[in-house]
Amino acid sequence: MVPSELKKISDVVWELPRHWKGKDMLVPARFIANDALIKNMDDGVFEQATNAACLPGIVEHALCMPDAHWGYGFPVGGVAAFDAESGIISPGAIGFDINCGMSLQVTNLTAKDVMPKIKELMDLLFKRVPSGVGSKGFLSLSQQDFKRVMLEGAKWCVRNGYAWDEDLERIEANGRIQQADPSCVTDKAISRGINQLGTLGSGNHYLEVQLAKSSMIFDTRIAKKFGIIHGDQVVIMVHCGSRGFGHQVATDNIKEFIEAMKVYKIKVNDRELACAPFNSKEGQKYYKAMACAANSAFANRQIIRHRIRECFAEIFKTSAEKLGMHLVYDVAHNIAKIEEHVVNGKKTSLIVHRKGATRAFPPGHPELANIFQSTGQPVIIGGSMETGSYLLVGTEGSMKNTFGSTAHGSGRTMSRTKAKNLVKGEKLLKSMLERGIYVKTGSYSGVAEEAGMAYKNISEVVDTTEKAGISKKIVGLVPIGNIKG
Amino acid sequence: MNYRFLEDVAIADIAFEAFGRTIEMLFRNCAIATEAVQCDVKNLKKKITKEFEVKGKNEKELLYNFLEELIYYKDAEGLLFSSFKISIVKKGELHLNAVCKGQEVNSKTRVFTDVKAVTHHMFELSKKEKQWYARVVLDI
Repeated sequence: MVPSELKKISDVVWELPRHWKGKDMLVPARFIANDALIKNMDDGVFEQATNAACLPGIVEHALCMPDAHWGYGFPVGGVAAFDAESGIISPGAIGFDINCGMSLQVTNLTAKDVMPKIKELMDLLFKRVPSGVGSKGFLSLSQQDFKRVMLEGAKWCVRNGYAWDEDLERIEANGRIQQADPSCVTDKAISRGINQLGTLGSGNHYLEVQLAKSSMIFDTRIAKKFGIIHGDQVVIMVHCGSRGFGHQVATDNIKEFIEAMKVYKIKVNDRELACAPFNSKEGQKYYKAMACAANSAFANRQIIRHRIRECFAEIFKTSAEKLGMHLVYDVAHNIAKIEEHVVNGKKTSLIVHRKGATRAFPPGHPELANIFQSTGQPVIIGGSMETGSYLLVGTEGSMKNTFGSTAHGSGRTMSRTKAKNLVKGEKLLKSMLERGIYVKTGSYSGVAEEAGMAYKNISEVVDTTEKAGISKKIVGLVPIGNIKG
Repeated sequence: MNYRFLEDVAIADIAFEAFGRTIEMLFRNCAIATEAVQCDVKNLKKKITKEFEVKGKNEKELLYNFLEELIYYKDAEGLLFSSFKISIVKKGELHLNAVCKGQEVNSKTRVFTDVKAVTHHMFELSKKEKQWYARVVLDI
């Protein structure tokens, strides 16, 4: 139920004041949502966003994007920025899946080329991009090699033939966060993730072949700059993260932070928000380990894209270059970054936490590569496998209102357990095939958990981000083939 | 009832509550629930035995560390388990010894959804009358 103290600030911005529930909130909590989305927001979102608003060093307000839903500790779809000098860092406000993110690459193929071969193509992709519980990648790395991956991220892929030179500038932070330090990572985290590079995982992770719909090209100039020239053009979207390696980095550090909070006399309303001052020994160690996991995730998605290029080349009997398989962008949505933002009229260094929220820098932002200076940063919003996805760009409003952030997906409305009780995976696959979507999976129950009915209406989510001025629609994408881990 | 999954908790993740007449039974039921999220436990082969020890300052920390270890073996060695022999002793801290039987995941294993981590969100362990109780939210 929507709290009675929730105040409407504008058409799509709502606020819970600092005194809400008598909690020790340091700033208000803000929610970007239209009337329908706010009405249907989980109670957990209000509770968790206001818990985040109590964390030391938080500035301006804790934020929830329109796709927000109840997570653990911090809501999914949450953004919180902390003063880099006096604020904290919290693994729970980033997520266990460090640098879970989205990638979109284009082809010069159309539906006419791909539809007759869609089954053959998806079956090959399913074989070459391992997914599901316990899957291993095709690379056999030494510990030394894996540490190079942690340090270099996507650049390691270029050096080893798994990326094109041009890919790097199309990845957030050029696919490498500089502060990575493998000495901050445990042996347990290494042994958990060393065999998983190039794997998709499961849950809501997927690889999807999609079509750009001509009726949904909203900005032809920018779409063209990103390589989307006509309707029915085939593109490929990937959603995954740092796999077991990142999950263990988060697990290890949350345990340490629970102890560290006693030393720093920090109290949190939910143990999953365990944190430490960013500038403390523990805070810096976690940040450096988080950067290792983030870099491994950039490499993971790049290796997957390399396999996708190989599969398309094999099926269409030509090279990936000739198929025009350029990367549009690769962006994180579970991460903390050191960024400069204007707070109280002053440029301030912040540690911006995004958990299920995407960076959305506007045109002209100094951190963007030249190719995006006039367009703004591409933002990839992954929808449910039944309903489609969107390519957006960041806009000036994101810098003013949401610490350069926007939504990341549709956002769930129904628990996995409930969805599984309501939907039968096999039946859903059959019905999707009838609607022109071929799904390849190792788990029927996993498919049932991801049914479209378990998610919010994605169009409503992206329209709300546009209304809030934090991102702008470029192209709508619909699925024709999906690999579900 | 040994365990049950909860419908309206942490909706992107999976929550369960488990019960046990003894603390060892509770830990075993929590382990089975965690594995049952990931695979068809009933049809898992008991080909591999893995024995390990974890420690904890209290029962709650011990359960967290035990479940975390099971998730670690799933990724590091591709192991899923269906049978658990658990003993817990107090030697200063609590020490848990687990003998787990299961198999390595292969293309024939009926797998479901990958568990990324045990979260501290709503994590609970208590003794109510003669019954031990735990509530766990797993990150998916």
